[in-house]
Formats: sequence, C-alpha cells, structure tokens
Amino acid sequence: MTWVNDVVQGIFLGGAYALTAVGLSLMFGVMRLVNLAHGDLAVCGTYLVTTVMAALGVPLWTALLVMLPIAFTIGALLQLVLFDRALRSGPIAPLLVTFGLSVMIENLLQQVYSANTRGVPAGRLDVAAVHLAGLVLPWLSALKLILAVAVIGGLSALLRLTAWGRQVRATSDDVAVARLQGIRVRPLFASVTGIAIAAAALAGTLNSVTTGVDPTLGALTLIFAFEAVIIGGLGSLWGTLLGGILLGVTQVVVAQVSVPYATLASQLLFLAVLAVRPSGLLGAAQAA
Amino acid sequence: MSTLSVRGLEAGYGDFQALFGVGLDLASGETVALVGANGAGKTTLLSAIAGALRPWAGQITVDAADITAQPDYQRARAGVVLVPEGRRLFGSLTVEENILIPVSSRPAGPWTLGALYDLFPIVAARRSHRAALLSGGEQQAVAIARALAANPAVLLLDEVSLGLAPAVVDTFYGVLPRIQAAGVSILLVEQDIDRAMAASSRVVCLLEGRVAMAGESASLDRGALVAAYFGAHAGPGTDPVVPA
Repeated sequence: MTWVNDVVQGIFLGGAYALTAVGLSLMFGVMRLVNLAHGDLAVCGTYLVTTVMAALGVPLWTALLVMLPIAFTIGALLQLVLFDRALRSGPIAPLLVTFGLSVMIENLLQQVYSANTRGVPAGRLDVAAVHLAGLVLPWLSALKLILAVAVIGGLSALLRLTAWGRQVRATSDDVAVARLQGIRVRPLFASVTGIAIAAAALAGTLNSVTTGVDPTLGALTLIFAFEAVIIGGLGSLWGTLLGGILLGVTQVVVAQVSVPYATLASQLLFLAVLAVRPSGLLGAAQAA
Repeated sequence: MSTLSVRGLEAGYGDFQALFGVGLDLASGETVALVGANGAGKTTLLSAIAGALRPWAGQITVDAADITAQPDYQRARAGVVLVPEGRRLFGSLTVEENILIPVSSRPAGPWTLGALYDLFPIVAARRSHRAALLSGGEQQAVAIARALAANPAVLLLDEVSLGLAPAVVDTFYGVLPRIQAAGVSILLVEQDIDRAMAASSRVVCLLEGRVAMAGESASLDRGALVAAYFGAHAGPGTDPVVPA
C-alpha cells in the first residue's frame, strides 16, 4: 500500500512541477523563447501575495486573485519592453537578457525582503487531508494537480478553439507571414507571456505554502520546470504535464528507498530521456 | 485612377540595392504580369509592396492612400495581400484555420468562406486537413484562398506555378478571371513569358532592378520582351521559358 501511496503522492508532486513549468513550455512553444528568469518570476508570485496579504489584511485566496492580474501585467510588460527586442537580436540575446533578469530579481528580492525564508499561511488547507482507502491525500497537493490540469486543459482549449489561439499558432508557425496576413504580433506575444507569468506566479505561491520561500529558490524552480518541459517534449503542453508527473513519481518512489538519491534519480531520468528521445515523450507531435 | 501605384521605388538588403526607381500602375480589376530573370528584383518588389521589406525611397499608394510607411500587419487591412513564393501556409493549422486567419482584421468584401470554397472546390474538400500534409497544388490553392479571405483590393501572386505540374498551373490561371471579375487587381510574377502575356493585360519586365520594358500584352513584341528579359548580353533566339 505504501507503494500505491507513493505513486499517488508522486503524481501530486508532478502536478506542482507541471503547473510551475506550463508557462515556460508555452513561451518556448509559441516564441522559441527560453526564459531563464521563469523560476525567479514564480518566486516573485509568493512575495507579491505575502505583500498583498500584509497590506490589505486579506487571506491567501483573495490575495491570489489580486496577484494574478498583476503578474499578467508584469509578464506582458516584460514581453513588450525586453523580450520582443531580445527575440529580434539573434539566438543568444534572449538567453543573456533573461539570465540577467534572473540575477536582478534574486538580488532585488534579497534587498527588499531579506534572505530569510518565509512561509505562506494557507489556513486550514495547510494540513488538511483526506484519508481514502488507506491513502493520505493532502488537499493542497491535490489542488496543485487539479490546477495544473485545469490550466493546461484551458490553455489547450483556448489555443485550439478561439481566434486568439488560431493567431498564436499561426504566428508560432511563421511570424513573417502572420504579419502579412494582418496579425499584430506584439500584443499577441504580450498576452502569451502574461498568461505564462501569471501561471508561474500561481504555482510559485502554492509551492511555497508547503516549503516556504527565499529569494534564491528561483534557480531550483527553473531546473525542475525545465526538466518537466524537456521530458514531456518542447512545445507540448500536455507533454509538460506528463514530464512533471514522471519527475514527481520518480522522486517520491526513490525517496522511499533512499532520500538522498531522490533528486539524483529525477536528474538521471531527465538525462535518460534526453539520450533516448531528445525531442521528449510528446515532442513534435503538437505545435503548441 | 489606378488602384495600386508605385513611384520611384528603391529597395534592397543591407548594402545591396535590388530596386532602382521602379514605377508601376495597376488599374482596378486589372492583371499585370511582372517578368524578369532570376535576381531581377521581382520578389523584392512584391515584398516592398506587401510591407515585408521597407523601401529606401519612393512611394506606394493604394486607392490614392499612401501606405509606404505602414507596417506589414496594416497592409492587409489597407487592401494589399501577398501570396508568398513557396506558399508558406501555417503548417500546423487546418486548411480552414489558415483561411480564417485574415478574417478578424479584414475590411468588408465578397470573399466569404462559401465563396472561397466555391472558387476552389479542392480547398473545400481538404478543409479539415492539416495544411502541412497537402500536395503542392492544394497548398497553392489554400494560399490564394487565404490571401483572398482578407478581401484585398490588390492581390500579389509570387510564382504561383513554381514546382507545380502544368495541368495544375492551368487550373490556377483558369480561376484568375473570376478573381478579377470580383474587382481584385492582380500583380503576378511569372517565369513563363507566354503564360504571363496570355494571363495579363499588361506586362512589366524587370532587369537588374529597373523596368526594362512595359506594354500591353496584346501588342507587345515577344522578341523585344525576350531581349529585355535578358538584357543587352542575350543572344537572339534564346527562349526564357523555364519548364515547370
């Protein structure tokens, strides 16, 4: 029964990874932009939420609702001011720009909020769990998986069924021709990055309810998000969910045998997928 | 009054100048063929008119409105749409999704989905297929339908016949009169001089970035056009027709 329990916990953890990674996957899939500041922007979500909670005296869930449009706006502005210009300047520029942004965010957070780890109080949900047929299902972990599926499902539906999604996919196929067909690419990309950063900030906040947060957490967040994206296949949103879940299950199951090897095992899984199937498990099958 | 008017157009890439003071007029519902050897500047001229390339000097007007400074994404709304060389469909989208792309930003006009499917039955038959999986001829039909979906005043066709069987090319030239009849002016680039002269009311021949010859297709001397096509160095009797 412990094994079944471990796999279930692993899937939940994978949901958290996938929710963190979905924005990274979306931005790469649409714009071929590798956002090295993705993890730091996720961490920013937590600080934004705790600041809103302290300033307005509201609970976590209200603060999250306040934070999401702010995160969307920050993402859209970053795209308009920084990323657009970087994308026009060759393949190295986006890496340098987003890496620089990552360093700046980390130091800015240390300056403003200090290097101390801080927790995010979630009230009763913090420890609430359902006991079902011998399994312990923590509500918060389940919520992250549900949100990951909801965000990925919602985004897929938007991309597949709306005029906005059609324009995003067309632009992803051929930017120059999309412009000639009347598509305004700048606001389109701004909306994509806005969604990606809002999802990252949501994931970052929920993750820090269990683990707490400090300004240096961005790099680690980025690595796991990256691995989920690569394992699942670049540009495939459902692949990112699959990649996150494989990472999570590997980590929890191996931890049952030996805790120090848990993180190593997930890195080995990542390397194995890269060696055997470099395009990822669901790579190249879907455009977005 | 001409629908499209190009005056003194100079354009190029980096340090390389490809067009030197090119002028061109296109009346409403008229078809003009643009011919010339490889590197004469035909595609550059279409790119500059479509907005993909910013000209160095000169003026482009559509229905007397100056569009020279307009960015690429506004040209389609201004009524100028390019069918690019090599077709360049959105490969991951279905045929119908490709055609729906210009719809959200287009001016009013006759080209509904139904009218486009009526014009190209093969496009209707393939509407739910992914564009990347179509044959060259089918892709070309979709590319023209996608451009028409923007309800253009001016349609720029770049080498429609490239890489297609002659029988397939015939069907495209057979459809052009119906597009013209809807009031669309067509500027087409064609390697095959005979096809170009047959399909157009006027021919403009480019040579090394300049208009070497222009005239009515019906009364144009074919020998003189061939000479203009190759420039002063061409020997007599050389035929510029490139087999499809």
